Amino acid sequence: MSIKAGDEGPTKTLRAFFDRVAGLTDHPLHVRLLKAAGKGEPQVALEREFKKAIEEILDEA
Amino acid sequence: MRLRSLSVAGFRGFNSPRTIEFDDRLTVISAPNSHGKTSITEAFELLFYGQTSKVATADSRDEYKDSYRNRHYALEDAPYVQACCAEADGTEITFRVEIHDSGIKRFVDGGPVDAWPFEAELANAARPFVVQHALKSLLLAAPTDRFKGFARLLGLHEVDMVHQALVNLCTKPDSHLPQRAKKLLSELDLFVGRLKSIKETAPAGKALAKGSAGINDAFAKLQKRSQKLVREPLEGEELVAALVTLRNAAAAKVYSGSVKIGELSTPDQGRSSAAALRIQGFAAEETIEEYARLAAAGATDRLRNELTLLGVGLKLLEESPERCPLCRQGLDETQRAAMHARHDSLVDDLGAGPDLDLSRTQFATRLQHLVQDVEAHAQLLSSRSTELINANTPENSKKISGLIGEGHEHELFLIAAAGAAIGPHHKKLSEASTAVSLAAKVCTDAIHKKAESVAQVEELVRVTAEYLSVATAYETVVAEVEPTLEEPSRLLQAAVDVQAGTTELSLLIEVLGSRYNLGRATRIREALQSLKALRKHVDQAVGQTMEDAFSNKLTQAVMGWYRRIRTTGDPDVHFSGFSMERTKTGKFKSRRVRVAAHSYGVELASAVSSLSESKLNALGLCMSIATALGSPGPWDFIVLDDPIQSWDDDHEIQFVNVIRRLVENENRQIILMSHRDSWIDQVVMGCRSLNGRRYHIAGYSQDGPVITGGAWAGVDQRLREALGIASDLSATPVRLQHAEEELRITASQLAAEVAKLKLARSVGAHSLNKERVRAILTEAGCDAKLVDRVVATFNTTDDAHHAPKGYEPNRERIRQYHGALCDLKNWIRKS
Repeated sequence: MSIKAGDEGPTKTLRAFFDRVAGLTDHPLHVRLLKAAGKGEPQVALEREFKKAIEEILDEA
Repeated sequence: MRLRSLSVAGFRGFNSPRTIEFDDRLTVISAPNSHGKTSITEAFELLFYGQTSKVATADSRDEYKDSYRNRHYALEDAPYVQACCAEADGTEITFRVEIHDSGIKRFVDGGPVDAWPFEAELANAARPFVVQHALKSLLLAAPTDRFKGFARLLGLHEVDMVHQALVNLCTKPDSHLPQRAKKLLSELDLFVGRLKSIKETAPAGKALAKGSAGINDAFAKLQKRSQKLVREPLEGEELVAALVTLRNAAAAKVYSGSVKIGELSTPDQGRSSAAALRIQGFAAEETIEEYARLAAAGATDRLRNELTLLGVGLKLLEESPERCPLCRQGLDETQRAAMHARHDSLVDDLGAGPDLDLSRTQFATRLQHLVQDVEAHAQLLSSRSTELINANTPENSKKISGLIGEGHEHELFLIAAAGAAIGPHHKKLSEASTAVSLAAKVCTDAIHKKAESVAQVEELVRVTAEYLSVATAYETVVAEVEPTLEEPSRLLQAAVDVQAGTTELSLLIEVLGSRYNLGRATRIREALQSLKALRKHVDQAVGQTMEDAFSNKLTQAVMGWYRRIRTTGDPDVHFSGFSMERTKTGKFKSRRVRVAAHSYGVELASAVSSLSESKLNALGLCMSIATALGSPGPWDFIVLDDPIQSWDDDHEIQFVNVIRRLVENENRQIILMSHRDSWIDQVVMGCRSLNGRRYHIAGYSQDGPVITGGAWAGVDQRLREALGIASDLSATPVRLQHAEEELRITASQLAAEVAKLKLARSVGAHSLNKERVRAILTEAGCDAKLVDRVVATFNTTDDAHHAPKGYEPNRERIRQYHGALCDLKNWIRKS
């Protein structure tokens, strides 16, 4: 047993899963969403990142 | 970590504090139904996971709200669950949770902590609890719930959470779109539909429907068509302007104008914002101060003139000192000295000073710019509603009414209402602009006359601020009515286009003018469509991750345990493996776990639909055991909560072997609970040599369960067995060690009996060691020699399974110990 606080960021299992999805797609939005999903509460993080990506398209010159 | 003890108070079925101490290997607890067995499991769940699995998987959380606190527990006390655990090296750690109104508080060795030190390990480790309702959630649940249950069991809870979140987003992305993105998408769809509805523009519509891949093609087609209509090879804004001219010429015969709020072009928006900022900058206190400085400087003008005159006069006096150069009258020395003194004094007072003329010119330029800014700003703003104002004249209202026709009274009302709302603001904007121009003119004139006064500029700043306020109010009203005019505007244009034959022209103008927005809309649409692909990718990745976890020994491990439970008399209808369901093309179905079964060599539709309840129960048990063993985590224990429900005698006996194997081969500490006392007897008998701990919940009251400890085996049985082993010439050293252990336990049991009978003291046999046994026997008056002989049973080792260096089994010694304990037993009986 390791007496230490939980690690930041995705765990090993989650990283392996993200790597697996990344092997199936290199779409920038997909990569971006997967990266976001590994941080914090996934549902909230995903929705926030998706909204941000759309806002960026809307604000493009 | 292994469990040493569990203390519970005020939680679920427990009211007054209770403590259960656990054997390092096997502890059995028998209790009738509803006597608190599951509360023990739930206490562990709450302690280590912050929530019981029953609550975690509940359909209605409301139903379980406040269900942790025992209703009879004193309100002023916080219910708690506390466990003492031991690391592999024997280090003890105490974990405690308290249930407070504000939530759960955690403590490690008495100190508060935010999270358990092993929190990260728990996230992906299978839970060491085998509970009935969990089995149901794995096998007899809806497909998605089963998937979740398996994910949790396999330590893939986080993956499941992320997958679920991705599925939610990919399935319903529209709900997370900003409003303006929704509007752009709606416009795109509308344009595609309108383009497709006209034969000449339909190919462009189809191309536009393809998104980014088709947008260039669509606009090339539209440009070609537009050039054909205007009969000139124009491009860009020139082409749109030519189309507008063509359209307006034709539409003017029907109605020239619109009812919509005009949109400012991007450059005009920039001009408007910049002008507003400059106007704001002018309407500040600094402007008044600057103008006040000019006014103040005006008062020194006369003195400067005097200085200039004196300067010229003194120069002329140098040529003719006796006469005044202006009036030619005679001057004496005193008068000349006075002129010099006045000149020097004025030079000292006024100095070089600011260049007033330059300051005046600069301020006059500022005033000129202010007027230009205000007029331009007002014009830009009011241009947005000019068409609407015009549409609301009596003549035009009548025309519009005739064009839109019957059945659209509401739209006509909206046009009138918008006109009535904007009209006064439109007028005020013009008036406020004029007021600024007039006030600025007053200031400019004063500057030219060098007669500035602070009151003038104060008035100008006031009317400028008022203009800004009027402009803001105008923009607010425009923003409010703008959406209400979309439908009336569309109706009017469509009516005009139909009558004037300009439908295609209008559409071309709109589409060509919306390329920027359509470009963004197609990109957003593509982003949304890409989420469908992402959904497929994550489904496949999750499917593969789950299958890997299944094939990564889980299926084999479950099968191994399943075979140990099944009996030779079982019909050949059995579980045969786990997999993820697949489509006909071999892709994983989303969140669908397949539990396969076969019957006499033939594959069945599903284990869930084909296996009996008892076999499903066995399968669920095996899954929990296999994952608990295969999953890395902090625990060395497994809690089995009433595992034998719906089983027959044969399977129950088979499961006793499973328990023994878990302890001996898998080195697990087992906490076993059952409602069947007779089966617990079988477990104790089957695991006789493990010498575990046994509890029985004999009753239940408002105070909680009545827990009593029981002997794993009786004194006579142990003495008989030990002697039997010592007499068996083929007994292995391990068996002989076991005989010694049996005798040590017997010594403790007898000492506990002495304490009870002779000292009226209740002592747990498990808590006794050599010194305590000696103390009890001595205090009870036992002969010192007999006491020495009895405690000698502890001499070799305290743990027969880990004999000290140099230990050698000795039959004679065992016989001596046996004799001493028989003598002690006889002494107890005689006295």
